[in-house]
Amino acid sequence: MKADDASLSRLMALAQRGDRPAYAALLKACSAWLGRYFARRIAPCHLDDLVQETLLSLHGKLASYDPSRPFLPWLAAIARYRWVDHLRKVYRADEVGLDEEVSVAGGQESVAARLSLDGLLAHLPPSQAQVIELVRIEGLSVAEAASRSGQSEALVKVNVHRGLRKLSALIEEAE
Amino acid sequence: MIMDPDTDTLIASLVDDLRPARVLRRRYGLGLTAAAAAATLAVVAIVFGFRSDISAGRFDTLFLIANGLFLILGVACAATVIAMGNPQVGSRHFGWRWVAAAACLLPLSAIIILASGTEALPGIIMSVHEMDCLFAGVTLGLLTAAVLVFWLRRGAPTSPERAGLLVGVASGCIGIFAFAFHCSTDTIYHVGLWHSAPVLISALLGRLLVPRLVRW
Repeated sequence: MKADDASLSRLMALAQRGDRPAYAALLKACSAWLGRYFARRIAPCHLDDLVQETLLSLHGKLASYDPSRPFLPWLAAIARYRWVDHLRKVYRADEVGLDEEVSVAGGQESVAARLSLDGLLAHLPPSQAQVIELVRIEGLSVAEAASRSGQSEALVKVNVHRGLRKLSALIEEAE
Repeated sequence: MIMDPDTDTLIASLVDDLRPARVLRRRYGLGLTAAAAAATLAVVAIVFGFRSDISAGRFDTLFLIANGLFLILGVACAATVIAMGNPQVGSRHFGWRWVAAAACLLPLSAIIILASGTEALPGIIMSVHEMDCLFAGVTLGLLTAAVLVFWLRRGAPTSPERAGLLVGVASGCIGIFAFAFHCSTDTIYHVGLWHSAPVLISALLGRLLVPRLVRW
């Protein structure tokens, strides 16, 4: 199903009234949308987990969507929150290799661009955005990220910490 | 995109678990907060009693200006908290900052007048009455804080830290707004310092305690 805002909003309004077929269709569409949304901003091995975590959040926070407002900015806020939360978790993905082939479905590029994770990262100083990408998205060690970025290891840690804190404060504001 | 079989299973279980959801409408949240503020004012009237001039229908100028500022700041912060329950990329929650800046004029004025020695040093040393205002302002705000935390737990605030800070400011403002109907000291020193202090303390408590209650 193509994830256009009006139809998703309609499905969500039905789901909030307890309509299960509408909810099933909504979740499938959201799952596909989230898969595209997170692609290239999360290691492929974590993509399904993050999509599922976000669907669980969507389910738990159904009441927080106001049907009189657009749906995708709401979903994007939920997705960004889960994404930043995911980045906060310390992990190292050795098998990382980002899928460069995945792209946003046609017709929704402008909406996706406005809501995108790149847009969120763009609000950080380049030094912070770079080390977050290296350490938390590509899964490099602090030493490897320091060598790649030209920053000291201590600075890499500080910039990751400050960048994540800033990202969490920008989830809704940054477009 | 091919969906992970686990995701299919998850979707099936979520659909099975679906229950009708009562949508969080902002006007409902604002109504709840207004009811909490009214109940707080009623507690002041019943437990402490209103000051005599207000009971007689007369109002002091400083009382009106200072309490007006606290009320507007409380409403602005509460409205922001309510809005944070319905997240949306593109929303901006900055309006309360301008009101907060205006409200800062009260403690600033008190400090400037004190520092310049324009008037004789009043009795600003901490006394029982000052402590009453401090303690009552924080305590009376608890009902408002409880309503706002309840709202945030049902909603999906994407910045729990900021939401906590705003819950604290809103509840402190409503608390001291209500207690000012009992407090009969109308000096810029007292109002600027001792009526602002509960807001500051509530803000700190909200920032420290609320995020862990509303994180999701």
